[in-house]
Amino acid sequence: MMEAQPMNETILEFKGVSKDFPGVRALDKVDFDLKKGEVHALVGENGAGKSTLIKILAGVYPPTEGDIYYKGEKITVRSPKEGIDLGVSVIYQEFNLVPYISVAKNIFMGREPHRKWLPFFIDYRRLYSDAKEILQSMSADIDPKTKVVDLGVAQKQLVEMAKAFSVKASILVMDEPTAALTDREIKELFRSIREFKKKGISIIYISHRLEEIFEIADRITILRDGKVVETMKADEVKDLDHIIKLMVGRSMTAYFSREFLKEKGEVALEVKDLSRKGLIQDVNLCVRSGEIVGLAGLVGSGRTELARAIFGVDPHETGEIYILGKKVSTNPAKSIALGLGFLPEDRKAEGLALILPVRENIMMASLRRVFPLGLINPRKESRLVNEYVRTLRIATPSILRIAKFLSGGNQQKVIVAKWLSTQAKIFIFDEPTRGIDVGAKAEIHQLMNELVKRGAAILMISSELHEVLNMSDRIYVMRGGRIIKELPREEANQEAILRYAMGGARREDSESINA
Amino acid sequence: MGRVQMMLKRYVALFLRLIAVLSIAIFLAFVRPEFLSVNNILNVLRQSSLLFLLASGLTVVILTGGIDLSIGSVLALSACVMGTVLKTEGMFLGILVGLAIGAGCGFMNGAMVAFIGLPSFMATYGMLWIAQGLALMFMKAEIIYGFPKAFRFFGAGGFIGIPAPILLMFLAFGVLYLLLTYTTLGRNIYSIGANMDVARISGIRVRRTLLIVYTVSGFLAAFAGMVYISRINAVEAGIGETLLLPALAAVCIGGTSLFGGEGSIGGTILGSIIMSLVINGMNMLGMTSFWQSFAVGTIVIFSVLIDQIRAMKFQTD
Amino acid sequence: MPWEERGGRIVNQLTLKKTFKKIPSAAFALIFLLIIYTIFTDRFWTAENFINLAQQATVLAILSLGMTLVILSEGIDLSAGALVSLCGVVMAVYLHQGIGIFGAVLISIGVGVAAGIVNGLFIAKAKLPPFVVTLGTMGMCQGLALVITEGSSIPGFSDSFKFIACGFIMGIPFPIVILAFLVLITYLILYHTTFGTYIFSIGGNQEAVNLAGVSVAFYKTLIYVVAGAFAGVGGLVMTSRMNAAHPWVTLGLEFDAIVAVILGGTSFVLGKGNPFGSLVGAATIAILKNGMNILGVPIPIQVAFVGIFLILAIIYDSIKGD
Repeated sequence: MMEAQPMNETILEFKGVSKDFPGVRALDKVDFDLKKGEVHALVGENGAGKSTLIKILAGVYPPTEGDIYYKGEKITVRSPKEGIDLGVSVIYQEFNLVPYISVAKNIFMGREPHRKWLPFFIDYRRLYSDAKEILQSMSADIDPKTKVVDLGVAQKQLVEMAKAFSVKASILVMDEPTAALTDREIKELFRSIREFKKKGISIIYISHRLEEIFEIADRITILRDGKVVETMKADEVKDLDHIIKLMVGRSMTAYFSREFLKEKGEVALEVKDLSRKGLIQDVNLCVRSGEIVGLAGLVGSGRTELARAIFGVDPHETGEIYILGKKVSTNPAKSIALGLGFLPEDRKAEGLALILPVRENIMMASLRRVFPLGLINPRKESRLVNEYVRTLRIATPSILRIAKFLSGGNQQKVIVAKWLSTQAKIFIFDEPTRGIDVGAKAEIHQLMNELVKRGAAILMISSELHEVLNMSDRIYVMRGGRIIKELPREEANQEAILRYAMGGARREDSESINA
Repeated sequence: MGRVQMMLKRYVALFLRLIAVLSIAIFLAFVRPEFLSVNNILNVLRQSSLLFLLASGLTVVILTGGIDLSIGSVLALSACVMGTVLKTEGMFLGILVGLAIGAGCGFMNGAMVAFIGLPSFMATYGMLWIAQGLALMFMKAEIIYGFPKAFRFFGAGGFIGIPAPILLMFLAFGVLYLLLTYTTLGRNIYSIGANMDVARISGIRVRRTLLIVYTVSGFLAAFAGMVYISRINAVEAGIGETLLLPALAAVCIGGTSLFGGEGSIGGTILGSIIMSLVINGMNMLGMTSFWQSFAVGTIVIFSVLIDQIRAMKFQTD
Repeated sequence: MPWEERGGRIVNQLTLKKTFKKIPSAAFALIFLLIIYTIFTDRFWTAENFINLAQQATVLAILSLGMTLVILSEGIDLSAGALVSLCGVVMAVYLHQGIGIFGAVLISIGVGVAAGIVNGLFIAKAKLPPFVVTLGTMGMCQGLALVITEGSSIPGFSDSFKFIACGFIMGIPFPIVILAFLVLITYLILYHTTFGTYIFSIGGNQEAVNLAGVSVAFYKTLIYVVAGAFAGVGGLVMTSRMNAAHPWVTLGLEFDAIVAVILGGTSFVLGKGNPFGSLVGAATIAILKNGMNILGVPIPIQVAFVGIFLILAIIYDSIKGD
């Protein structure tokens, strides 16, 4: 897209910025710059470092090393509020609006115009007219008197943008802004974005929708494994494949090689026409014992929702689930009894009870099976738990250690131990090695390998393409709540998966899955 | 961190409370020598037992992350019915009906929380008033005196010189301790309080467990009522009014966190003893019951404050 | 009026359904009660009864206004009833020591403000759960009130003091005038000041307020202070009406106030609601009790009914769905 505004002035610069978390380096000496009035897209797979970069800019946490320059001066952002004061506004996917007050009040929160001699009394005339002015200048057709709760998703987004504008933000970060929008709404959003550009506001635009990026962005920066691969002008890009190649790169460190079984067993888990309104649609898949089936897709494609529906944590509307050939209506207790185990994505919130000891966590799902009469034999329990600790090499001084104090990798092992102890034969792993150091990753992969060798069936959700390609016998790719493609191992490679995950076709108005 | 050190850490909290008990006792003995009379010490222990019986059910509810504000009124209601029935229909039936009413109120609390999804403080607050209202209606401002000798055993009797309430306290403690430590139900209670989502995903039947927990709380409130009216040999509708705050204080002082998942029934015993010592002390020092309500209110706030500070420190560790 | 912010591009087309959703459960309860009482007794619709009713309802209505602010911010104030007693008691003591009416008003409100500050400190700064804190302050207020009066009441005030509850201004009972004044203040606060906006916002999305740089702790404390001040006014009216300060007669008043607010449509989790609904709710509760008194229903059952209404109101709100 050619620009009318000369964009010479650099407003933001990241120089050599790195961010380390325990066991993993999320950003590695990143150089990134943003010019005044430009739309700069940030592209990369899940875990490439996009949200880490944004959070550092917003003041959620500080960088481990490197400098940030804003309008030429070195800065440190110590809190989200400081970020806003500085001129950085972030629009997250789950908006930060107050539902039962008006749009105008949301926009001017904390800065409400007041009557001349009465400092605490709101001047409604000015409030609404100022709000209307902002909204109109964005070409947004919203009545400022409306309560936010009465707005649709697209409109709420525009209100967030208006908020940013009214605090005189110079940098606006938009995180997956079009995820829930119809085509028409996307056009309106882009119109507003262009208005912002004219006013000299710079926008960092994070998205997976490459076609949209071509339409709205001036420059594109591609991140991979925490490093900047390349920054280029949007009109230098030839086609989708060009970008995808840069996103995935060539090097594939195989930190673990699987033994693939020639003969797979019976179908252990089968799902037919599973749907849940707005989240998953007509999903069909199967997993055999002895195989690991990978489930790839972008954030928001519905993989976790599918897993939760299969396990029975969330209900589903249509479709059937068969475990070991038996049709079941699942709830967690039943699933566990039938031999299905589920390791959730959010380890800290859903995988472990952090304030409980290792022992209690490991036994939580198998108490009913190990002690059917309801009475716990502490010696038997300790023996069992210690065996898992030993087998999985969980680093903990004792089984009574509170889970919170373990490292990420060991916490994950505790969760794995928990599901192993249920004698599950079918596993759903949701992001099994996210945020874990390389050594622990290899151990978990080794474990998964052992499990299938002994006849288990594993459905593995992962956003790390290396992992998906390394470990899977077959790969399903999900997009927009549907299974778009099934790829056998031989046909799968990174570009292919990403291409299916990102898609090429535009969606029509009616197809927006969240409208 | 070595194993010995870790074990010490676990028991440090209980240890501190034991020291608190001793300090208060020593202070009181110093200031009012009559504190150390056998009669008085037995009195304190009897009071602790009564308080503990009420606070024990509350402890179990709080462990799941909820609260039961109705225990005082449920105690009153079940005691009133119990007292009435046992004078006309006999002790056995009286006790049965009374305990059943307590359990029934608890069950309804559980149903509101588990199946309708009401926040526990709202549901049990509503039950507080409903039960109180029913108790007043039932008793019509009368007082019932004079229970049969057999019934009086629970509150006034003894065994080998140990007063019955104290024995019952240890009985209840024993049962609950075993339940919480050595049964899957007990484990599930802690899990639900620690993280309800994880508990659900782990196949724990959360709703059923909550139902049981609130029913137990109601039952224990009725049981406490039974011992109480047995001791004072009378019952009237207002007996539960001032019991909620001390029971809550006992639980909090005992180290059970209002957020759920942390705490122990042993802590509640110590908390009950501490509260009873404090109340006994206030009596000895001549504080009117009016000042005492003030003091108990303050104690509740401060013990929760300390719990909160401890929880926040835990987060940032 | 600004509080009826409607209009604009509303995505939801079903306006009828939306209007229906705005009716608080109090409306249904009220109509139900009126019908029942009309059928079962002829002593309900008399002027004498309505004056009686107005007197009984005023203190509850005043308390409900303050409680609305608290519940809107996702809090609760269990100490309100005891606080009314305490304010009345402290004021009575000073009245007998000779301070004038004006001083009495200041003291009553002042005690309420002080209690509000205590509540606010523990809830807003120490971030303790409101129901525990106000449970504690309830005990403290009740205890203090009993200590000061030594368990009995403080009677006998001047005629000019009696005017507050029994006097008339242009044919309207003075308490109603006071109530109207407080309604005006509440309305202004909620819908015309930034404070009011923050009350809704703290209940609706506290983080949004925080990010905007507004001090959540300060405004939360202010909410409890205002609620305390209202309790002080309530204490004033109640003491004047009974011509004595009783330390225990307001037992359960906060329960009535909470139910009134919830019946009136204020949600305790969403930051949604309005004070006029609370007034309707207060009227409903007052009428409930008034009618039952006429019918000879014993007080305890009345209390039980209030509890049942509360639970029905909550169920109704959750079915309405948000």
